[in-house]
Amino acid sequence: MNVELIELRDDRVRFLLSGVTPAFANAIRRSCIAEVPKLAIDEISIYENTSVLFDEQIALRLGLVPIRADDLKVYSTPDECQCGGVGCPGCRIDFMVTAEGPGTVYSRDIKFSEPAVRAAFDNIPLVVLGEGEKLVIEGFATLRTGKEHAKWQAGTLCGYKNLPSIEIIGCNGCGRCVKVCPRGVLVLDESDTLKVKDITECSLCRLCVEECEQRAISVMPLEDAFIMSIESDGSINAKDLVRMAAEELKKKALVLQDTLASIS
Amino acid sequence: MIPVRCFSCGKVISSVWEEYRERIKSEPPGKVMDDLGIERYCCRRMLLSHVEVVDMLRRYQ
Amino acid sequence: MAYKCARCKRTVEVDYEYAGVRCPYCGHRILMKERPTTVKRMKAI
Repeated sequence: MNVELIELRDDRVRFLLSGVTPAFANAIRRSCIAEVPKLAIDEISIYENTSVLFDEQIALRLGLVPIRADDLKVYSTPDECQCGGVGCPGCRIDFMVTAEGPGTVYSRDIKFSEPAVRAAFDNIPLVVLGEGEKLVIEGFATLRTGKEHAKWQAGTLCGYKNLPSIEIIGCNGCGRCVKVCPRGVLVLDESDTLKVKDITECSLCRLCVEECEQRAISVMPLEDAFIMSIESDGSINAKDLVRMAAEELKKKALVLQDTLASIS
Repeated sequence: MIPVRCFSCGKVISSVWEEYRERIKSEPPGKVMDDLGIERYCCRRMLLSHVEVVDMLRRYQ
Repeated sequence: MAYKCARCKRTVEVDYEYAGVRCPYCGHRILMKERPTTVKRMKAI
């Protein structure tokens, strides 16, 4: 197995994963989506709401706000918590929203009881309050996985594609394929030789193959190399997300290993 | 109110809404969205097609 | 259960047997239900 980084941003990582089966690449993808636990607002108590939005609408909006914690390992999911899911500081992070109009309530107005926890984005508008309108909400956030609800889904857009391979044999340098390629993968250099500029951009559409009268180009997907593209919702850095996804897979494999070992 | 996330892909788009609303007064929306990192057409339609009605609703409170 | 008249804004008790849904002070037929003072608990979904 070989990993090569293509692009790294806080919210998105693209890397080339080669020498693995599609099953493994898919396992990583699915783990990013459904197995990595993250914080999200779980339950709220509305003390006062005279805004134009219904209580339920505000509840939904609060739930969807991504929440960032300095260290997620400090918290545990309610099912695995030592309190048995009743609710304790280990599995619940309390918060409070108090606002009075006129003005907009933003995600930064969600005040958590712990300084290490905050909304990932400061400026998500939650509700616009008019003159004299009030909002008083209390509640708590919990750590869960994307299996339960999409608001606990740390990886929003996770996917992969096979690494394309473009072979050029007997090209006469007419340049028609360069024009037809929608993603600008092919270029002609100074001496009119056809070159592949950025293979990761190729979408395997094979328009260049059809366009070439010389039949000089062949485009094929490599069966054991994948370009993984993992995007996070902002609550976890994309790089950490992939690492945690791999850890979750490992945990599952270890359970299997231990169970099988105990049978013997 | 602008939805917190894109309906299709789940990317948080509401965090750029206020900047987007200000900037489209003088710039083409497509360019503003490119600038704000809204790449996919599912996210772009969220901003492009949104109509803010909360201030109109308030009159009927 | 307390209602509020949409026209005269007074608190109204509805007597279904006598007048139906109607404000006894001004006769207006649109009544609004007041928000209960209890705390509302819900899942953030």
